[in-house]
Amino acid sequence: MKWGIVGTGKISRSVVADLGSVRADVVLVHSRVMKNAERFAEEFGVGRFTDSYEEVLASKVDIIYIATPFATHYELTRQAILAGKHVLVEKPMATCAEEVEELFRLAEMHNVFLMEGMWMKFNPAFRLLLREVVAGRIGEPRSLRSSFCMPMPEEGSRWNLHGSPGALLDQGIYPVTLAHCLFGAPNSVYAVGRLRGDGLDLAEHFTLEFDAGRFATGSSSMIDLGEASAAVSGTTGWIVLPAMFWATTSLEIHAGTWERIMHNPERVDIEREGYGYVPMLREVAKALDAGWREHPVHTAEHTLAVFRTLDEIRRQLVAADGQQR
Amino acid sequence: MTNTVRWALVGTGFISRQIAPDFERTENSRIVAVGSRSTENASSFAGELGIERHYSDFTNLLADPEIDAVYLGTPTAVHSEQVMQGIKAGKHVLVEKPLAATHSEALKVAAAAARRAVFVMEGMWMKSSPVYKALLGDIRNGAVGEVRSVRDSFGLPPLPRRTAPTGSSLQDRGIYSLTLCHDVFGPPIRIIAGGVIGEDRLDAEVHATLEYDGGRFAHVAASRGLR
Repeated sequence: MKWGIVGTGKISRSVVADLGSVRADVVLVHSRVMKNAERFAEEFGVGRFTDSYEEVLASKVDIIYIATPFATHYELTRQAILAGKHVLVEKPMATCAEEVEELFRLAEMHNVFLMEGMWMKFNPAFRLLLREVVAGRIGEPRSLRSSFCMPMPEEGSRWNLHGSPGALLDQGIYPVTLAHCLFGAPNSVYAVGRLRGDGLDLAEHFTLEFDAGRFATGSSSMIDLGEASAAVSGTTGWIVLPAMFWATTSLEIHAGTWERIMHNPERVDIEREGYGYVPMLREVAKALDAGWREHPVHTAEHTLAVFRTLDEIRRQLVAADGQQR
Repeated sequence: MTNTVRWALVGTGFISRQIAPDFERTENSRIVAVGSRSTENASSFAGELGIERHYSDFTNLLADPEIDAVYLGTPTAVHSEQVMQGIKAGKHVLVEKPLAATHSEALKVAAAAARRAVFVMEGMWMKSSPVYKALLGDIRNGAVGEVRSVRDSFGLPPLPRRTAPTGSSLQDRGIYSLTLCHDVFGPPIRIIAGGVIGEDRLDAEVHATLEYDGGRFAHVAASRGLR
């Protein structure tokens, strides 16, 4: 499979390095700024570079990896699908559920593979967490708490609505995705947050409620620092994903004896492969090889469900903000 | 030179058993009596721990002039009534948490204690823990900058037990989380809560968001176990 890389930021640097580990053939790199494309191509030994997206779409690449400012994901992905390319697009795949639905509809119509790069779900420690929960290691899972609150560097596209809608889609998508993986779609959502004057969301916290009283509390912020672990509690124990939970390489399993639960959890460490993207990239390569149009770990349905919850959180933030003004 | 406080322990359950030796470790407290509704429990507890006197009648215990203060380790449902009786008898009172079952009961207790000029305190031992005090000290000293959020939860693994879990998860366990939130942030401006109501109509599980000025918040949860 021939890969084309769109965007030359930090994330592309990590992903291209990790693509080397799965023997992917990166043949083309694109940036809006020719100089950046050229420098990237030189550094990573990519044969061809361009500042023209049309050139990428017209090229012989099989799959396009898109890691541009979030607000551009939808349009670039749409064009790639229409050009018949498979697409792996960084999270958030789009800015709302409606856009996500449209992208998957188009992907199906054009018979191409489409996935959001929600690498957390492919992380071996994360897979192990889900296996342990399903196996009943902590009894019946009852609640989740997780937060991704980290002040973001002051420069960059995150602070501009043309680049990103805010913290929820950048950071909040992780706690919400984790909640969906454990409990499915929530029955009700309660969210409070802070919007900048122009509507960019800076911080939010939320509670998602599920059947039988199960719940997830979460938060995200691009201006505050917050404890960055996550914990899943069950009727007989709990499992902690140590900070940073979205990329964790360990689990702390508080289950079994009182001593194990309270004082001395079993700690499982799993070595990170590359920058942590290898497991996802390997699975994408496998999916392409098998001719799949979506990956079972992060399907269209899963992606869409998460975005519906994100939409509802966003709706409540905007509604409360409107009342305050 | 401090005087030694002469204590009566009321209630002979788990918590009284836990706390009795700790009274003895202090320099300024001595347990002189124990009370229980059951004479047998009172006398065996007294015998076991070497306590001089025992009472099966709370009124008689309160009438004992050689008792300065009572510690109430009784069921939550009788806390505020027993505290009021203690106050009326002119005794100082240390009552296990929760002090009362409702806010209005707690207000009555506070007013009565002020009138009789006796000391009344809820046994919120967490607040006296050296680690807890160090936490609040570090926060005050700006160790983490401005505090933006708190999350804490209290559930315990199910223990082998004869009966189903009882009591309010909020009053028995959530009270710790809420106390911490109050110590860090003061009273919230808004509370949103959800949970599970048990067969006894009490809260078996509670989770809540407490909101404060400037977007600060707390996520708290408590569970008594579901079965």
